[in-house]
Amino acid sequence: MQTVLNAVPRSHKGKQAAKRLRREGLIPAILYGHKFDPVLLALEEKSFLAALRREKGLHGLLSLKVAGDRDGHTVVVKEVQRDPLKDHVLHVDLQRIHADEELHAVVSLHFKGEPVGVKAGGILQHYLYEVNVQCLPKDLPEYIPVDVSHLDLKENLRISDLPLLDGVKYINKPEEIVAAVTPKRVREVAKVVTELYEEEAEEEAAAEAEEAAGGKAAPSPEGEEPSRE
Amino acid sequence: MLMPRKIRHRKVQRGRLKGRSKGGTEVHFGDYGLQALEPSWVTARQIEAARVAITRHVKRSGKVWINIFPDKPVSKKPAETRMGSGKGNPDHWVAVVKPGRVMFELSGVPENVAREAMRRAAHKMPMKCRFVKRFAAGGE
Repeated sequence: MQTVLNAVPRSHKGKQAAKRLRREGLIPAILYGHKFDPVLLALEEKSFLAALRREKGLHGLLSLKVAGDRDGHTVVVKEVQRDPLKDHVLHVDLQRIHADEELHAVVSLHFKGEPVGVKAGGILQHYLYEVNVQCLPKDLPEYIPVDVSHLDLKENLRISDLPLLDGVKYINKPEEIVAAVTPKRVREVAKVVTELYEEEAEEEAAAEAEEAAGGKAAPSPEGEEPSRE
Repeated sequence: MLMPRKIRHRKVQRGRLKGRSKGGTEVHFGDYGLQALEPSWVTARQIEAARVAITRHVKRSGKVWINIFPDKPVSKKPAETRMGSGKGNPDHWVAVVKPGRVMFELSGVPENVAREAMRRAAHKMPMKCRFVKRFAAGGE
C-alpha cells in the first residue's frame, strides 16, 4: 500500500508566502511531470514526515491527494530542501509519473553481511548509498539488497556487480565503485613506527649496559657543558 | 598541520563572519559528521587537535574526512611592540567556518563510537558543534 501525502493547492508564491505556510504547519511544494502543467502545493507536514519515517523513506512511489482534486496522483519525491541547522523541511519537489512511462528514480542500497576483508582487519568503505535507476513504475524496487560478505581486502564492488532486477536499468556507470574493503594503512604505519622505536630502545639499552659494565669511563654529555649562572 | 602550499597574498583583511554556510552543510562522504552551530575561525592547530582526538578514539579504524582547510593567514605583531609601523607578520592559518558547516566526517565505526569521537573533537573546536548523521531521504 502506498503512503498517502495530503496537500492543498496554493496560489501565492515567494519568500513571505512560503514563510507564512511554514508557520501554519505546511510545507511549500511543487508538482510537475510529463505533459502536465506544474502545480504549486502546500503539503501537510504530518503526512510528509510520516512518509519520511517509513522503512524505505522517501524512495519509491507515493500517493498524493490534493484537496479539491478528485483523482489522486502517483508521485516520486525528486528533491527535498532542508534547513541545515534546524532540520526543517523547506520545500519538496514532486514528480507526477505515468504508469506506462519509464522513470528515473533514486533507490537506496541495503548492505548485508560482514565482508571477509573486514574480518581480516580491513575497513568497509561505502562510496554509494543510493543508485539511479530507470524503470517502469511497477518495477521500481523499494531498495536494492547488496551482499558484501564475499569482499576481501583490496576488493571493490562495482555497479556492474549489483543484482540484476527485472525491468530495472542502472544509470550509474558500470565501473563506478559502490563499496570497497581497504586495509588499515594508518595502523600498519603505526606498527612500523612502533617497531622502529622498539629497535632503538633495545640498542640504547644495550649501549647503556655496555657503559655500566665499563665503569665511568665516559662522562655524561651534560657534565661537560659549562654551567650557566 | 594544514597550510597552503602556495599563496597569492601573504596578508589578507579580516573579513566578516556573516550569515550561514553556503555549502558543505550535509554529510557527503562518511556516515557521521560534526557540524558547526556558530561562526568562527578555526586554526590549523585546532583542526589537527580534533583530527588526533577522533583518530585516537576510533583506534585508527574508521575513515576520517576533514572538510575545512585553513587558507586564511592571520598576522600578529610581536610582543611588547608599540602600535603602528604597519601590519604584523603572518602568524598562523585559519579556516573561516560559518554555522551549518560539516567540518569533519567519519565512517566505518558504530554510531556510539562516532558520537564519542565527535564529542571529543568538539571540545577542540572554538564554537558550539553538534553530531549529525547522513540524510538519506529517510529510511534506513
